[in-house]
Amino acid sequence: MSPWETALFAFAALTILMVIGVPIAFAMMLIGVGGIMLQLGLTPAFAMLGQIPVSNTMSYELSVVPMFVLMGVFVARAGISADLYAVCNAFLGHRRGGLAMATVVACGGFAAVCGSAIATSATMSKVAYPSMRAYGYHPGLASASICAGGTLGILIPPSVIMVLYGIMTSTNVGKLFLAGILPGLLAIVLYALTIQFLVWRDPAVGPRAERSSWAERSRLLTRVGPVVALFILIIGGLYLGAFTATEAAGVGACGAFLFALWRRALSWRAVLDCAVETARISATLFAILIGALLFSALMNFGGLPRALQGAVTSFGVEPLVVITAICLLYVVLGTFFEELSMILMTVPIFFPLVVGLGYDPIWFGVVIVMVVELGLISPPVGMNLFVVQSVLSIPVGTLYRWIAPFVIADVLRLAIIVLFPAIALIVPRLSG
Amino acid sequence: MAEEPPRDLFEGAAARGDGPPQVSLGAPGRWLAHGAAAMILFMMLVTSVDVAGRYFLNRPLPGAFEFTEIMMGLVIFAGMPLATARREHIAVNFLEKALGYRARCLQAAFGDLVCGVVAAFMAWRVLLRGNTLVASGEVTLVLGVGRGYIAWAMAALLAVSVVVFFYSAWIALRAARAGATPR
Repeated sequence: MSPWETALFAFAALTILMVIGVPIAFAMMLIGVGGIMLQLGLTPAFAMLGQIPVSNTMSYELSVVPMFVLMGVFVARAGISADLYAVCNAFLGHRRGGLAMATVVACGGFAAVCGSAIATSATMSKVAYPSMRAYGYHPGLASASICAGGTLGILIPPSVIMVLYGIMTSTNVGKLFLAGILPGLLAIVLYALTIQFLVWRDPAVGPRAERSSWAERSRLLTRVGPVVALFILIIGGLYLGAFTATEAAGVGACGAFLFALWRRALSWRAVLDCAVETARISATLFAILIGALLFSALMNFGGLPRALQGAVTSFGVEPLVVITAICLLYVVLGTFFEELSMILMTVPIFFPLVVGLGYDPIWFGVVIVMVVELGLISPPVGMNLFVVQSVLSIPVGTLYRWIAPFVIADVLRLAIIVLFPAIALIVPRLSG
Repeated sequence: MAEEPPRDLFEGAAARGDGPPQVSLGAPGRWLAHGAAAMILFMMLVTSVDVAGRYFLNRPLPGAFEFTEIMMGLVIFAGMPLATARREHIAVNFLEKALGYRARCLQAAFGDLVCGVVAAFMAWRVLLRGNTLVASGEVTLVLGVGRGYIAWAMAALLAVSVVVFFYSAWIALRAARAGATPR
């Protein structure tokens, strides 16, 4: 079979399995091993099935995944989101649309220590929405700003998607994290401008709240101080080269644990629950990783990455066109498929191509994460839209209409990062 | 604390309450959960002590690296049956809205069966991998733990997952037969 046929059959079979509801991780394992069996025979297929699960879990480097998940679980449990939101409000609330901007900034802050888009939007829905509604904000603006802000969870470090991308492509996870910082800040700025535009068009959707005194602001700042310190410790440690990503994750989890203790948010029972939840989430993530590795082994044996590279070279396609095509493909696929597995099974195919064109692997990681973010808030099946809609029970139509400007802001940001890779790359290049 | 923490970082269909039934693993499930939790917390402590020791006392914790490796292998596969029982494996659900409760249960049962078979093959191959490692006498450098034994433990935990997958399929089939939504 030609590489194209192999890939076509594999993806078709995978899609069928996924659509009829087989969990993605195991569907990828089945197709991966089955395909290798057809291509190379029983022995290599079975050998990989025995080897990949063992060697890809018993790894020191990979402990970064459960440790960052644990950190997120502890921080979510510590109940800082309300305080973060209060701080942001104290600084921004008196502006028109200020509460919505505060939501975005607070989401960014929560995301910075949590690392999950879904957890960020679910938490912020409960914290920010009632307050915005109380000040007369339009439900559409209020919910859309939560959806959009929630996606920051996977761009602002630490981020599980970045870790898994780093593992699949042997890219330095610490540098990937650092690369997410400036695009994350850019996202906050663009979302704030979007909100500004929406309230300029119709001031009634986001009225001003009262101005807070400086005494109040500093009082609130001290309450979130430890979380900010934790973030600075992790990112600073990575930047200065004092920590590897793995060490940062362990220290971060421990810091989050101490913080939750200090907030008196943890009983023994709660500590146990957090740890068990972490074990379960990690198990599902590693199942997907194992599935993706088996599936990408099939793609590699089939020769798809080489064939794709050959095709692009022989047709002399412009690099920028290739990147744009990949982004478009991801956006289209992302409206149907679950993002994490979509990325993990396609990265092994596109990565050699993109790097072969002379692009930086770290930059491509950031681009991929941003495409996933876009997928999270794109109607009809953006995951964040589902989460926020189910927590707040607002009409889907309203949410779709109000999320549109934020989707445009995301597309704009993607274009900026594609055209100016330096925005993502400057921090990791300067780091120690 | 004013706010309610999110129930789960990844809320699946099960969390919405109208999905196919989850499985209760009873006391063995609790032991497994406690074991997994202990390993996670140990990993956190060991990494932190190791880092602190290296930077402040210039003395890293001997064997921390290997300890983490071993814990990783065990904790991932210990978490597998727990996640399985709660139907937390990530799946695409765009047929879900179109299907009735019965059809969803059948769909879940089918998914469980496929996963169970895949996991069974994996358990078998990991077991054989363990045999190879034990026969070659490969041990970790500092702690001297046989890598083959860890692989055996992984295979055993995978076998538990297989049982849980098949049990879940059985429960889902029963729910499909009983029909109406539990609510």
